[in-house]
Amino acid sequence: MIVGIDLGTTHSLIGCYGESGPRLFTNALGEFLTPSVVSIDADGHALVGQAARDRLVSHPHASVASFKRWMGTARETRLGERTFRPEELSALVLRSLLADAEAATGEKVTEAVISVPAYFSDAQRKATQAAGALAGIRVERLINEPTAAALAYGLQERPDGSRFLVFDLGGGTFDVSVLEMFDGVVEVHASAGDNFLGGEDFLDLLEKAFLADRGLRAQDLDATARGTLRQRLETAKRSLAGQPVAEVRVTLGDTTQEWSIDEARFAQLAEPLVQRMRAPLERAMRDARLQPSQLSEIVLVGGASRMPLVARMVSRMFGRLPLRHVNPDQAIGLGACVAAGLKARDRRLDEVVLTDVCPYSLGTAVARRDAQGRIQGGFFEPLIHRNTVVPVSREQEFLPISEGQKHLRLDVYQGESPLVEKNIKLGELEVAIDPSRTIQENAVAVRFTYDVNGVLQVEAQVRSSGQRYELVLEQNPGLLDAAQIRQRLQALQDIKIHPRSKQENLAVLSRAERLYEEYLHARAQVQAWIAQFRAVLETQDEMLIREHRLELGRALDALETI
Amino acid sequence: MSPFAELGLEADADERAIKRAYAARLRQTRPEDDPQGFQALHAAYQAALAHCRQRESGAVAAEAARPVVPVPAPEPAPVPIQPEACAPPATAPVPRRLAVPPLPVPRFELGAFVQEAIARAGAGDAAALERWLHGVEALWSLDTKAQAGHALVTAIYRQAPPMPEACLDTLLAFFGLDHARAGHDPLALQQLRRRVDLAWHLAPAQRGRLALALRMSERSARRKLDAALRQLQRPFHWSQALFRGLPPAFVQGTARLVQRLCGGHLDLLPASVDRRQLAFWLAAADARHVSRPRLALAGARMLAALLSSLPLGLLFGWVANGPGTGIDPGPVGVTATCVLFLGLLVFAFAAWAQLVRWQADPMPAGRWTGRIHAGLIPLLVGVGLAIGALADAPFAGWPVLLLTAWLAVARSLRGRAIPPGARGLLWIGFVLASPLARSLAEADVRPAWFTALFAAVALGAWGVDLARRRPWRLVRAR
Repeated sequence: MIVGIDLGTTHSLIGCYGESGPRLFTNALGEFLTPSVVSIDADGHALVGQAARDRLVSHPHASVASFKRWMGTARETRLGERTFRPEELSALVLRSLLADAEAATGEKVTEAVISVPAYFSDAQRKATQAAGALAGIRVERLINEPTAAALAYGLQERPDGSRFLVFDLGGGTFDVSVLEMFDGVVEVHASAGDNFLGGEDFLDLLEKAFLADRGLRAQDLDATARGTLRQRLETAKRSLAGQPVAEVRVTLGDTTQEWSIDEARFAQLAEPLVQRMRAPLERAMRDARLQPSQLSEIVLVGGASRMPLVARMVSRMFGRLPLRHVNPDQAIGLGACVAAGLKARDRRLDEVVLTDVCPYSLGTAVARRDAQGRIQGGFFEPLIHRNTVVPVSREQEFLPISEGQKHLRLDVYQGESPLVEKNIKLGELEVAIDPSRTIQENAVAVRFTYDVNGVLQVEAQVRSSGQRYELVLEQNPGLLDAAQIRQRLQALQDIKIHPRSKQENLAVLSRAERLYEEYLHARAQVQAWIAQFRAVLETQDEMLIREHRLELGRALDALETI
Repeated sequence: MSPFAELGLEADADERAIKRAYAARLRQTRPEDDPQGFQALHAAYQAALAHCRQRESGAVAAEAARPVVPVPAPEPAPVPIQPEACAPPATAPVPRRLAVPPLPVPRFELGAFVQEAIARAGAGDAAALERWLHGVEALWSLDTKAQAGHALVTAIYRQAPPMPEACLDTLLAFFGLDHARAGHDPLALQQLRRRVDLAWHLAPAQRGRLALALRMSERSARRKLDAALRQLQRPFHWSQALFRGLPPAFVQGTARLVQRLCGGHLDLLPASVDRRQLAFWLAAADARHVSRPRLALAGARMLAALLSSLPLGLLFGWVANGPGTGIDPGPVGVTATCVLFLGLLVFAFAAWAQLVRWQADPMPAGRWTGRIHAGLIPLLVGVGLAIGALADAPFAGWPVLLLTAWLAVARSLRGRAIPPGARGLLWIGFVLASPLARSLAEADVRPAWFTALFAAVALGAWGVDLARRRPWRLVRAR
């Protein structure tokens, strides 16, 4: 079975293309959204989802969130006994999601289509595929998140012959895509984005403002207090979407702080972030060569797009209100399911063809001769311009700088700056040329080929000798190679994720533990509940456990709503 | 095959038909199954669309060209002139305008905005500039912003207004023009960046900053910087420039300053720097070439020396003959002769240095000058031997031969790292060679051996150098 997965910064979803179209699976707690949080408990088992999220407060040193932001880097996180790379953490989330899918359908999952931010770089995409391999599934196809959202929206609404813009502000990333749909063709015209801009950044702003108002410093708070604070502020941020003022009441250490923020102040704080969102929007529109009046819809997806300031910004730029009737949390997940259906060649999707673009410019470093005939190096010469429809293959000829040159080095770069020093180097290819020939005879034809799966191939051919060279892109230091993946897969298999049957109990226990940390006045009470529930768990009587679990859940609800 | 035929359409198909045909063919040629077929199909689709849109906009333009009612001419809109550095937009499909009422855009004076943006950038505070740009409400509208960005860049390319690099980058980044796809030639952009930055640094208000950047903020250095910049920015007059250039230190300092400012790219200097001044001071400081400024300056210096020798002569006369005896022409004549002789010596030395440099330089491109350049050494050796033979005194040819050997060695050593000690030894060797040989010859060694030795050194050095440079290869390549 091929599943579609939205592996988000804060939440993840899984589903497949089922009998009646895209269908999402629920997790053990009966929810579609599984928080992308991993926690390791005392006996080395992994917890994923809401239980792990609660443990961010009660066990901050054994839990981690937002690791999608580190994908493509070699950063390691220490959780309990061992360290994890971001791929491994993602793999644990994937394993938990796959277990949900297998529980829902009873079928073994073999392959997945995972959605990634459109503006993810080559290294980040490869890391996502590695995470799939570590979770034991094949991930051949990645789909860009705004494209996925557009697929879901498009197949639901069938807006034939229209162009629209998908604005995707997720937990950690921001993406914009301009698309057109006609006769079943979903054509992406342009994508742009910012990989380090999302709901979490808005939360950081609130945290900073809170600490400044209270005269505190971030390093004064211990990890537990910080986790509590962030969860409260997150709630406040969400409530600002519906009401003008949000109140925060939080116990830090032994003092209880009360704080309130109104929409106007939040908007003012967020101004720098809003400014950062302008550039990708403008860039996508310019690359698509469209005027705002030519768009028929602006679709907002991603949980953070619920913030009123986002809608305000969109209307300031486009002169109209965005569309809001898609579920911003599920649109990408549903779209990933459609993409899975496409990959599986589902008959009902025969009419649908998706064409996507390459989000970055890819090219090589060149030297140029200025008006005085002097050579100046370090310029970027793109062969594949960003937002070119993929698959694409482009060829261009390059000349050696001087006579008697023995080698021609092709540095392959990804980026938008006209100067290579500001772009990302992907690799280099050394082409031997005959120094006794003239410059013209030593012309080298360079071909860049970029396929639908985002794999870049670079070939060079010396014109005179016909000698061919092919670039094996040098392994990025932030990535794992095949052997390392195999080795890590072994290691990761030792880490068991709690079986689904136990997850509900764990979720309730984790929540109780979080509340124990957060509510000082009710500590004794919560501790008693935890002890009692643990005793019930010992009995292994399913009926009794269920009864107690529901009761404890209600008690915790009551405690939290006070 | 035309793109329309490739899609199975008539050449007058409209956009809808093109899309329908493309969609139908796309199902058979999916991008993931047939990358090459898809690329061809997509290229045909794009070409057909561009063609169709061009036709449509042509029709619209033709219609618009026949106004039924004479309307008052609209305000002259900013003409979208492509700055010369812009790449021509490669077959960009003209965006099709839909009949949607224009958005309520706040009133916005484009020209005033451009002027204000340039003025604020000239103030030099990039962060403040960015804050101001973020605050301009009208620029939130995508249409207005694109227009404003274009007008601003055009103005900056045209006027190269003074602003620091950081401010230009802020402007470009704000309008999304700082990346490879924006269509600006990166080299031209880089030049523009340096030009506006240089113009800004040369403004009098930034003198302290410039002095700091050039590490000339010390008092005496600062005075020199001010003097040189004042000179460069005033209109050129021969007499004034010659007077100012009498101290060689000023000439060298000015030329070095120009080099440090623009690194040899003179066109980067703003218009406030007088071009004739620039040419004069650079030529005056360039010891590699004989030029009018150099000759004029040398003449001016000699004249100055002569003039200053007059009172000196008077003084000598006065000291020798006692006060009140009137002007004695003798001492005046002696000092003037001394000055003239010294001047000629300097000229001769300069001419010799010029010859050595010319020989050491790569072969010039001219047909005859090239041949003379390559064959000068054997020619001079021949002259030296001939003098020796004709004068019937072997010593007579030695000065020419020795100088030729010097020339040949200098030619072959040019551009090589020679330790200073070795250079000194070489000098002493050449200076002592003639008297040494002479004394040895008197001590019963045959002079002809020395003649042969000098000639061999000259020709040997010349041959080695020629083999290394291989001028005939260049000749063939041309």
